[in-house]
Amino acid sequence: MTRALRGVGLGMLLSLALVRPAGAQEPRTEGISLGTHIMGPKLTTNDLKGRVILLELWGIN
Amino acid sequence: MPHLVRWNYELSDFGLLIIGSHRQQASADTVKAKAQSLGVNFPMVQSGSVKGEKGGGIPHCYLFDHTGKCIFDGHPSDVESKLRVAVGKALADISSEKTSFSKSITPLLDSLKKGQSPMPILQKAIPMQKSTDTATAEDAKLLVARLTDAGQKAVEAAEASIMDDPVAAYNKLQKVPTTFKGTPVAAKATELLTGLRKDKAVQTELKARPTLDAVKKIDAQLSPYSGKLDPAAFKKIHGATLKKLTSTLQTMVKSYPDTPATQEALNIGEKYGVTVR
Repeated sequence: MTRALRGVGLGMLLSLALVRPAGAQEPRTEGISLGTHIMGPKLTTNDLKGRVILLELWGIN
Repeated sequence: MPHLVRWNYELSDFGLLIIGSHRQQASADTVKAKAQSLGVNFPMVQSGSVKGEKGGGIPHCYLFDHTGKCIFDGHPSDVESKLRVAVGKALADISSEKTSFSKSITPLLDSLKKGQSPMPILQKAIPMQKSTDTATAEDAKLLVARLTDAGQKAVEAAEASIMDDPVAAYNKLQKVPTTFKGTPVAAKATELLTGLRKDKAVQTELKARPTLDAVKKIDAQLSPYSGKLDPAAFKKIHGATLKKLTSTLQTMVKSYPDTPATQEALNIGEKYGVTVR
């Protein structure tokens, strides 16, 4: 029982940590910052309008 | 990364835009070489971000629908079905004035909304444009126009760059005849491609590509061991393969200088410390 309660408590803490803070902005296409171009077609914010966009954050290491 | 390359290949002509944002410390050349060796075929930026990020580890992705709303925020392995549905819903939005469509077109729109691949749906819609039922023919025309919209833009972009950068124009058009088969967009792209194949720069690039493929094969052999050994040990163990890489790059530089294919091959070489000029 204690273990189950501890599990529930841990789950709640974890979900609280992942919830966006009150007042924080929901991500939207208009909020995308294109950083520094490395390769491929060079985009402007105009190119993002009306498109389905997948922004993938990754690293080479 | 291979999943992104696949989705980009299949869906970029139907409105999907994939942006890779590198978020670690590395030089642009290092990231570019790695991305090229992974076959990346979409825009890559350093430190791209979005307002409202929760933070956390990588890889991580955000999916935005065509209205700009974030509809997924999580690990890339969980995004595919949502991504297909988002692309399909955007394509099914064929008219701002009509809310209902003819009986023959509605199932096609429903299939798109469920995330089915747009290419076979386009092929079903094309003959419906000639339907004797006026409503079906009109709705089919709207759907075909929506599904070929990105292809039309690719043709326009290629036409704009054809004089300054024929190889880039060729690259933009390459997939259009297959993806939009049976449409005026495909016919126009085929016509432009026929003209471009007579261009000297395009001809040299096309000749260089099989050798680039050979370099990519060598890269695939070496890549799993790269970074796992110190450079001296790596050179000793893979000496023969590195020698083959060097001679292939030398051939490319001599036979096809200044082509994008040669530049891409040289970037791969630099990953292994092979510099040929």
